[in-house]
Amino acid sequence: MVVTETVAERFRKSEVAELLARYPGLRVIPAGAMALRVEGEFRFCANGKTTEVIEDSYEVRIEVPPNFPKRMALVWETGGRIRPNYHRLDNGALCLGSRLGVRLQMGRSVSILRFVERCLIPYLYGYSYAEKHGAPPFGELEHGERGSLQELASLLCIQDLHLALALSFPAATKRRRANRRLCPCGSGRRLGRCHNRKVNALRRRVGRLVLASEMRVIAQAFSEQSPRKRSVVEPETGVAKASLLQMSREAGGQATIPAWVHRGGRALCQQPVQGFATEEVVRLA
Amino acid sequence: MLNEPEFGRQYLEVIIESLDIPQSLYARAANRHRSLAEWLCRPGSRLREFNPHVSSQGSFRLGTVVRPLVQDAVYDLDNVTTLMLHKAVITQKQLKEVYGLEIADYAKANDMIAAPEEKNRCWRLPYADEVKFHLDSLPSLAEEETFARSLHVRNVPEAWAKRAIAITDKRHPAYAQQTMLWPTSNPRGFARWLESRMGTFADTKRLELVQRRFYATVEAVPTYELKTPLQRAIQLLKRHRDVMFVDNPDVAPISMIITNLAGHAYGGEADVLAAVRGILARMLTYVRTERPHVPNPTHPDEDYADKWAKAPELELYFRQWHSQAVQDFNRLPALMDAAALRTATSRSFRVDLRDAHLQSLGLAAAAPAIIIPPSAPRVQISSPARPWGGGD
Repeated sequence: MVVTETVAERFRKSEVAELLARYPGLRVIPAGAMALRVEGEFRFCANGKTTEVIEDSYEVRIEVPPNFPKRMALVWETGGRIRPNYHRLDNGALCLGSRLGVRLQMGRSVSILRFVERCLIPYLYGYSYAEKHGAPPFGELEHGERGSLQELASLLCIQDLHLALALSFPAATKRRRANRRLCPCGSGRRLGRCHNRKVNALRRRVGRLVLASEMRVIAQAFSEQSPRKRSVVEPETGVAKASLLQMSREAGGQATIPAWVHRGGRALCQQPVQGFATEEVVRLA
Repeated sequence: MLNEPEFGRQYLEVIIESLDIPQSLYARAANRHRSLAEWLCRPGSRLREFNPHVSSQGSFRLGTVVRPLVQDAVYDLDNVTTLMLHKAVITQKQLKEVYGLEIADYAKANDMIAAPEEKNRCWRLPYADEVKFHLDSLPSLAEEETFARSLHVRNVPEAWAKRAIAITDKRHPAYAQQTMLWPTSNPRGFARWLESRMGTFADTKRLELVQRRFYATVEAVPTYELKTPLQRAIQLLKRHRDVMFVDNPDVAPISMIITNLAGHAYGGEADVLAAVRGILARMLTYVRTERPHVPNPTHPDEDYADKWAKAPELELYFRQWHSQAVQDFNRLPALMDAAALRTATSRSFRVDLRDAHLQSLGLAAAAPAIIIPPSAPRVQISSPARPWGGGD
């Protein structure tokens, strides 16, 4: 039997009442169907593990879509304090973190309070800190998909962006299937005997399907940036096929092309290997 | 300076004062109902033989009208006309139409600006005086005794149950058919129930008005004269709702939901501040998770929140409003800072606090505003997401 969540239950889980009580400058503004808009003066007080306590306030508008957190909430700073070129999306919303970064902060929670405290406060704290000290305290990601690769690399605890990309594909694949493949690091061993711990940890932390969808977005983005875009879009399906080599070059990776990509002069991922969630978008140049 | 509860009480008094309507408007509304009743009972009326009984309903009946936000807004006036006629001898459509003819004649005889407009359940009569009204007049038949008994069996006291009526609804599947299955309602029973929820304050006020010779008997005292803490609390909640949904009035929680839940949740508090806070604290416990979500206490099958089933966002808006109201009624009456209070009051109630108001509250309006914002709770940031740039 499918138990559908009542509006009351979902609203309770969204913790709007708690948000308003904790941040009294914020107000709920009735927005479009089933969505939520909160705006007003957002006064917060926060500190990092090793950084100072900062109390500050910003004028913000938070828009929460009905299918939050599947689609992430967006925040605009309406007071004009944050400079326009500081980590923003195209629509002017604050870029609180990479897609994966924000998703990992939220988990499956639908709580707006959690979103505000885990995603918005660190961003605003970071900006206030940067105003004072010149740089944000917790680091920052590069713009565009290079930033996404940096996020993957840090989740895998490695430096090499290309390897991070290569290891993320098997992490977006079922474990048993991925472990049988050659390890992308070029060691010549199967993944199950090589980088499997890192890959498994990433899969566990992020979730295979979330990761698969993230890899599709990354591949799509690289394909759209590519000058060879026209030639790599499948006319009948419209699916963009990005070249891993090209993605690697554009990502600035210096590592050798992993062995699982080549096998006997053929691209492994060109073979119809079922279960590799992202294989349809990866093709050797 | 006043202590906090006293400050809050006086603050809400100031708000209520500015959202109350003049007593003369209530009197004028009562005249409208009387005039219509006289018309329906005149010799030559098509309905006279069915002994029409016109009674006021809605916020004018309950004494919970709130001054509209815009200057020349139209006041909603509701009444219900009940005929002593059996459902077996007339269809809903016939009743609606014959009543429509009478209403049209009434509009002509009174030189109204436009012809009556047919709504799903009622006829709307536009008035154009110096104060704009429109009167929604609901034709109905008195329900049978067996129906009243069936309500009584479901723990509705007899005095309320016997006021149930059968109404017409154009959307009803048997609208044009001869059937005993009519939509039913009980607005007069609801008004009696709400009066019973006002507690001893209503009786005390009635006695006081009779002793001061404003009215001859306690029965003659209209509900709008009572101004009990429950009525005041409902007015405050309605104004808060009006302001919050000023740009989206169609999705605002309807007055009957707020009134109904407030009636249930009112705990007999003597002062308005405690009443409104108590109502908000308990209100959600009276919203049922399944249909009927917000039943009429004098007609358990009638759901004031019937639209929630088709438009679940309305429930969401209701809950959003409730959360905001809890926050505002907890915070504002304790905000002893002139500038901040003025801004917050304007934002939440659209009421401009004048210097005289602030002085009566013990706040120096002219003093420079030194706002000490309340401290935000400390958040420890650990493993945060790093700011990114999106797709460029």
